[in-house]
Amino acid sequence: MAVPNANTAPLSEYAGDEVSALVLDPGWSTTRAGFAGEDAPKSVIPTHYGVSSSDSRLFFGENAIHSPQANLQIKNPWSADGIVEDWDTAAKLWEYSITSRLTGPKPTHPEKNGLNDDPNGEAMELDAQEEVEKPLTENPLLMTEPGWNPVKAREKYIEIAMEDWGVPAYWLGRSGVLAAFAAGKASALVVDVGANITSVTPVVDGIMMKKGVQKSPLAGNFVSNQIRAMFKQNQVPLTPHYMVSSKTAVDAGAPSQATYKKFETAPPASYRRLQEERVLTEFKESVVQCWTGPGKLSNGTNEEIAKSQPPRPFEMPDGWNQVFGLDRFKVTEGLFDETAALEDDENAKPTKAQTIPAMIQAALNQVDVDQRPHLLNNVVVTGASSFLPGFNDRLNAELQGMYPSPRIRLSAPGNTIERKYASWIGGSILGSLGSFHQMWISKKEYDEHGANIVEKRCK
Amino acid sequence: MASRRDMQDIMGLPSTTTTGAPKPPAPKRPKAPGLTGKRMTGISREVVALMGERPPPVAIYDEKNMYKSRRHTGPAKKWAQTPFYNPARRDGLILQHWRRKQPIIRTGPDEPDVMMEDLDIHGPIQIQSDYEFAKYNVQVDVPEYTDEQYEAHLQSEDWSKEETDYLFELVKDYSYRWPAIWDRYEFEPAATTEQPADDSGTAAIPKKTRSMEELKARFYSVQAVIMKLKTSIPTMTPAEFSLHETLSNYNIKTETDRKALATALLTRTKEDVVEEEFLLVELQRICASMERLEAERDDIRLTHDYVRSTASPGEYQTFASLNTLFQHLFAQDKNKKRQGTSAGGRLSINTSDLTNPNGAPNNHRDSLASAATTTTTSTAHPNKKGSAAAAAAHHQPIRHLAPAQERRFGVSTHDRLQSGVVFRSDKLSKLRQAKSQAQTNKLLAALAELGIPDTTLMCSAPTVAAFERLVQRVAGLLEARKAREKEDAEMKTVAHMLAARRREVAGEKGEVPEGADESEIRDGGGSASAGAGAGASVGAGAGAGAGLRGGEDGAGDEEEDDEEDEDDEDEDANKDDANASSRSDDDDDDDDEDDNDDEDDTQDQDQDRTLAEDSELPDMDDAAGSDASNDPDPDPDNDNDHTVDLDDDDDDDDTSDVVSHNPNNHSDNDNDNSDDDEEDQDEDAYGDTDMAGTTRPSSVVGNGGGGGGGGLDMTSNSSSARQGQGHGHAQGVDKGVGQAGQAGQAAQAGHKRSASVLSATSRSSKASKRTRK
Ligand SMILES: Nc1ncnc2c1ncn2[C@@H]1O[C@H](COP(=O)(O)OP(=O)(O)OP(=O)(O)O)[C@@H](O)[C@H]1O
Ligand SMILES: [Mg+2]
Repeated sequence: MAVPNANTAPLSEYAGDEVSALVLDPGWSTTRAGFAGEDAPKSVIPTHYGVSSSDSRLFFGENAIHSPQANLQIKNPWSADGIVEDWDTAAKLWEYSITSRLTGPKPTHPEKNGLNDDPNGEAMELDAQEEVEKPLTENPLLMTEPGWNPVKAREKYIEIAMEDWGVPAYWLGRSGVLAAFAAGKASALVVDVGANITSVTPVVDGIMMKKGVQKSPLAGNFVSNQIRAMFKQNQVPLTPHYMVSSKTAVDAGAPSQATYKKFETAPPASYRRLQEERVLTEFKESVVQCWTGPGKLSNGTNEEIAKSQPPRPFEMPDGWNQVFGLDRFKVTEGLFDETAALEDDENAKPTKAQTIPAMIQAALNQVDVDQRPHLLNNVVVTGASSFLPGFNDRLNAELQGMYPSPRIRLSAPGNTIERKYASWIGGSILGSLGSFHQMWISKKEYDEHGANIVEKRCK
Repeated sequence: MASRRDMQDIMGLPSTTTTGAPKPPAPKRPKAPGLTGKRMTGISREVVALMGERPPPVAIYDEKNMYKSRRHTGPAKKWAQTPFYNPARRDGLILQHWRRKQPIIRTGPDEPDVMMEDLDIHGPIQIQSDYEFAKYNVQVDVPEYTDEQYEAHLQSEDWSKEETDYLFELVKDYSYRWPAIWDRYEFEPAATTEQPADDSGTAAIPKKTRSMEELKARFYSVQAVIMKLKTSIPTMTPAEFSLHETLSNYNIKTETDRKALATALLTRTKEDVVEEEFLLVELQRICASMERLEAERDDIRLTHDYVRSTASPGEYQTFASLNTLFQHLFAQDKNKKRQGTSAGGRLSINTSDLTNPNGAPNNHRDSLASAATTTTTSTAHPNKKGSAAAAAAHHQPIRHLAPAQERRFGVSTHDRLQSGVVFRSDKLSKLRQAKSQAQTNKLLAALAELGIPDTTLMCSAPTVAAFERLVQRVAGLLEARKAREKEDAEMKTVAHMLAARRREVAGEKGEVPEGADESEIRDGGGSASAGAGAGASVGAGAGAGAGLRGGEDGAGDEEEDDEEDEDDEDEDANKDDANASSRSDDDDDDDDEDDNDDEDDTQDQDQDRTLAEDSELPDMDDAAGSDASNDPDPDPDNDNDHTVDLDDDDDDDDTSDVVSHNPNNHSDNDNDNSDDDEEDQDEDAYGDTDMAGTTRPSSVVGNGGGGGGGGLDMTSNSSSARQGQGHGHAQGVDKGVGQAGQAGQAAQAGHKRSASVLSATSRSSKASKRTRK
């Protein structure tokens, strides 16, 4: 932990004053936690969790959920709308993200602290936690929430923190605003392309423009589904890693010659899907590309140009491999052009309003016109799905097409950590500012005013 | 008045108070780092010596001065999680941050870490209650109103009190950030439980969306009213009043319109933008060309009107800097001149050979370059001269200024500068002094005649230059007159001799037609005087000479001249004359090959030679007197008539001066052609190189006489004399008559003459015949 050195840096210049606050940034695919003042979250765990279908035990953490087990259902506490659905599990998961790596569980009586229970993997035993006195009484907690979080959900957040975890002070920040802070901007148009939701958040003077917040499901998962659809069309076998025990090299397009693992009872479909998702993420990372514009991929000769670009090979875990040409452009085109989205019985066609350019337009239209040029000059792109190659170029081209006159400037940190965890970093910055410490909602205030205080204090 | 600063400036001392912003005192140059200044202690002397002057390639530090790590060698400083209370908070939240453990406080057991629980349990014993970041807790000032005030003044049909309250609350919450206020504005009219549905109007109202402008308008109007209630308008401070004005003048309509426009601007199509860009470029182009046009116009205006200094004069306010500037200009000029001399050859010699009868200091300006400069130097802004010149030479290396620019900026170039300060007024008074008292007197008389006041003229550079020229010409004219008088005297003598001889011959042969002889002689004399006149400057020169001559006596002149430089020449000339007289017989029968042309040529050459002498005089007017020399004087004996004739010539030729009839005025213009003529002679009179090389003033007589001295043998003598010593001919000033046209002939003539001795007699007789015709 970086301790401000009173010898070297005058505190007034440093402007930071760390109070060992925790920052928790829950997302659909990962949940990030760490101490405020650090530059990356120390604890990043998958948001997916496993539920034992036999005894309903919960399993958190990568190691627990990625090992194939016959009775482990994989779930996600978030709804498709980007709002927490399963509060109980979400609370446990978040607590796990903090206690597993940051604070550690409270030392309790050895009989009850779970250490002496028969450990099952590395999973924390929730029963043990129940007995334990509230886990986070030492550290103020700063949490991020999506901009469209309804009041009820916000109140639920503070309730969990105050009552379940016993935090001395709490604050709830909008992830979009914090991402803008991470980019060093008080006013910005934040485009967050995550896993489940893509959102556009106008931020003016550090305040989220509520009316302008836009969200749509055209995010990482959408791209994954497009890839699935494309695979289906092209008869590409999608085999996750866990199924393959060994593979041999085959020619491109030839059926794979791999030996598969044998399972007495195959892991449930949810598990398979999660594992497939990992392969798809690999595919996204290495093959997929956004058409950089200008214009849509379907425009004029753009497809020809895209075709002429060198195709990229991809090898499935089982050895099947193929090169992907135009298809690697097509699977992302739906983010910008609803008509180009692949369609099948699993994937409904997106609407125009859901595409990213339309969202940006809608967001700007809900903001005072005097702010719009400024926001366009400060477009912050975050979220891991924005790593799709060409994404920023395409976004820029789309914005230029929509707004030819104002100056448009995208700011997207090249640093993976900063791009992926922008809102966490913003929270880390905010939570370590000396001047921020008057903003915390203290336990006392919560007790006095109830959960609704979060509405008044965390605008 | 010269201030201390000026003196410092001139003497090149560093001035204590510099112009403009006072410079910080020049920082003392830090001693060369490392070796030279301080002796290093850690290294042996030999090693230090090896380093030499330069710093060693690797930094060598004295061990003693080396960075000492500030590491505290004592026991580790203790840090502790210190609880603190933030005064910006109301709820008494106590947080912990890491702070140095204060040794004074450390009274309890030596536990380094104080657990939070402990504090909570045992009470905040050591809680720090001043928090340095508390000062950032700034609250905005939002006007407040009481219920009564609202009832009395703030009622609005559109706005209920609740909504107004809500608005004010939001303004406070969002610190006047209107975009945020508008964004979060969600007023729900108080649930309206007591009014079920009796009023359809209120039922329709519920969620009213309000534009930001409406919110602002309401807020501002309320704020204005509150301000007025607090302080009546007359008692407001100006700031308050202007705020009040702004608030009460808020116009929804204009704001809405403005935003509509802004929206339209933002949502333009690509084509619009491209077109706008195009138009902007076009506009820029137009603006640029307008600027250029304007600048050109300004330029023209400036040249026609006045000089406007655009350069900052600050840089050249010191004497030293001006000096450098002049130095640069000089060097440049010298270069130019060197090129010029290599081509032109004679110029510098003539310039330095210049005999200035007045002994005035030679014009130290380069005769060529300064001719333009001196005459054209702007007198409009003499005080700006320095700065403008500075501006002109500001750019290094020195710019070459066109004559027009030089004039405009008042730049003049000088060959050598006398050190120190020279006053033009001094020069003026100096110019009035000739070498001898007699000369001076004559000069002064001439000046008086010209109506030039003794007292100060305006001592501007052009004035001085003009005066200098005037004086030179006057001197020249005086000289010419002297020469002419000599010549006249000689003529008389010769005429007597001739008459005596004829008488002898007549006595021998019997009857002789007297009259013819007489007339011949007279004609010859006329011719001579024409030649002399031409030499002495046809036109204005002669006119002036005549004018100047007044009734003075030539002989007297000669005697006076003896004191002068030309003494020896005079003697030479006299000797020549004597020779000529004595030898006249010998040459009598010599070649008759020369015809009338030759005679003319002689004259021409004389003139040319004269001009060569005067070559130092600036500014030639080519047009002047091109054929004056051919003008035969019908009345040789009459000086006055002669003058008049010449004057007439001048009228014809000299177009430059309106008052050309007045000989006094001509003195300025007479010599205009000297440059050209000199060149002509240099180029053409190859036969006469020696003559040109040795031109000397005032031994003219022979030549003049030769030219015109009708029927005498003299000419040949004078020719030989010319060959021997190159005679002079300083017929003074004169405008070389017929120069351009006749230079070639002159050269030819000179050539022929040097090749063969002319028969003066035959020539003069032919001349006489021609004249008679
Ligand atoms: N290099 C990459 N290229 C393309 N996509 C990537 C890359 N890395 C991760 N992704 C995708 O990004 C998504 C995760 O992004 P991120 O971590 O920002 O989401 P999240 O914040 O957890 O989700 P949300 O914001 O929806 O709550 C996944 O769908 C993953 O497949
Ligand atoms: Mg996210």
